[in-house]
Amino acid sequence: MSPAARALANAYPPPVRERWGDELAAEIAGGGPWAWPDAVLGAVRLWLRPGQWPARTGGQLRRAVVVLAFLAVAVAALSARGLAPWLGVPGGDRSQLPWLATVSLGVLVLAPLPRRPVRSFLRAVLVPFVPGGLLLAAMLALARVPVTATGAVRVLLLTGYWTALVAMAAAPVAAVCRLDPATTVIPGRRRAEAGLLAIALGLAGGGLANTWSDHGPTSRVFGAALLVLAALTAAGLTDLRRSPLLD
Amino acid sequence: MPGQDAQLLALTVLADGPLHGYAINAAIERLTGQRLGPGSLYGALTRLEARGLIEPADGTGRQRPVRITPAGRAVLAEELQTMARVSRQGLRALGIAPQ
Repeated sequence: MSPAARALANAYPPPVRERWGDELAAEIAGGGPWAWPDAVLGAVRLWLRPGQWPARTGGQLRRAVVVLAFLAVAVAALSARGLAPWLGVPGGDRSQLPWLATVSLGVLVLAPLPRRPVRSFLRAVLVPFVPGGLLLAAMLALARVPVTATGAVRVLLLTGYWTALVAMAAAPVAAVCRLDPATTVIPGRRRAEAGLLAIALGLAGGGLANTWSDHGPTSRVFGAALLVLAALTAAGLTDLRRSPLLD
Repeated sequence: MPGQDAQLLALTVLADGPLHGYAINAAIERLTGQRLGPGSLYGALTRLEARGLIEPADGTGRQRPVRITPAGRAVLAEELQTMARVSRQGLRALGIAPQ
């Protein structure tokens, strides 16, 4: 089997690889280079739909869609920081409040809860925040030094700042991935559906509010990004509702 | 080939009995004259399994056979009946006798 076929099969999500890996790699190898675009497209489509990955229990499925929803919120938060500075202005655009509140409500509804004793749960939740938190604290401390950064130093500072933000945004996603069912209550089906619905509606509302706002061209890019994230979250909700897995 | 079509083809060939991925694609090729790409085939099988329309069948070795579930048979029957109605209507409009 060619290394390319094996590499393409390895590009699929882990549960799909575990289920179909050898057969998939053989099929890619048999199709030759003409099969590669279809194999890549198939991998991309499955990465975007974790609710369709092979799952043995309803808990595994719900954890996958919770990770998807948290990832969508993380990407939305990073996009907001880069594209929508008006969201950080206290008392600014009040038309943004309803969708921000709806997304926040969805996150609260979806948040996994600890089982007793809570120490293992807290460790799993807090550890992913440590690297990003330390880097962010260092970057904020550097920002207070009264020196005008120019050229390479400015690029370095900006890179460090954005790396810290990405790490902080990824931390809740990593935390959900690390949680052990023995120490954590993953949301039940109804709670998961309610949380996903709130996040999808909130992101869609944000998409519409920013697409039609008067904050300039970046607001339309931000709005379009939110609409895509809303569609992905809604797809996760559809997958959850269609699944026969109940427990 | 669109994803829904790939799922329908896979269900159709599985209605005859359990098959593994390679055999499913070979049966589809015999039926349509065209193989599905690997991403389309295993994407369709993954989605069908997530919806409970197919399930793992007994098998050994690296190949994993799957079989259609009762829910899969019901969905396939409904889809094929819809297609048959569309086909009859279209052939009648074209003045072609069904073969």
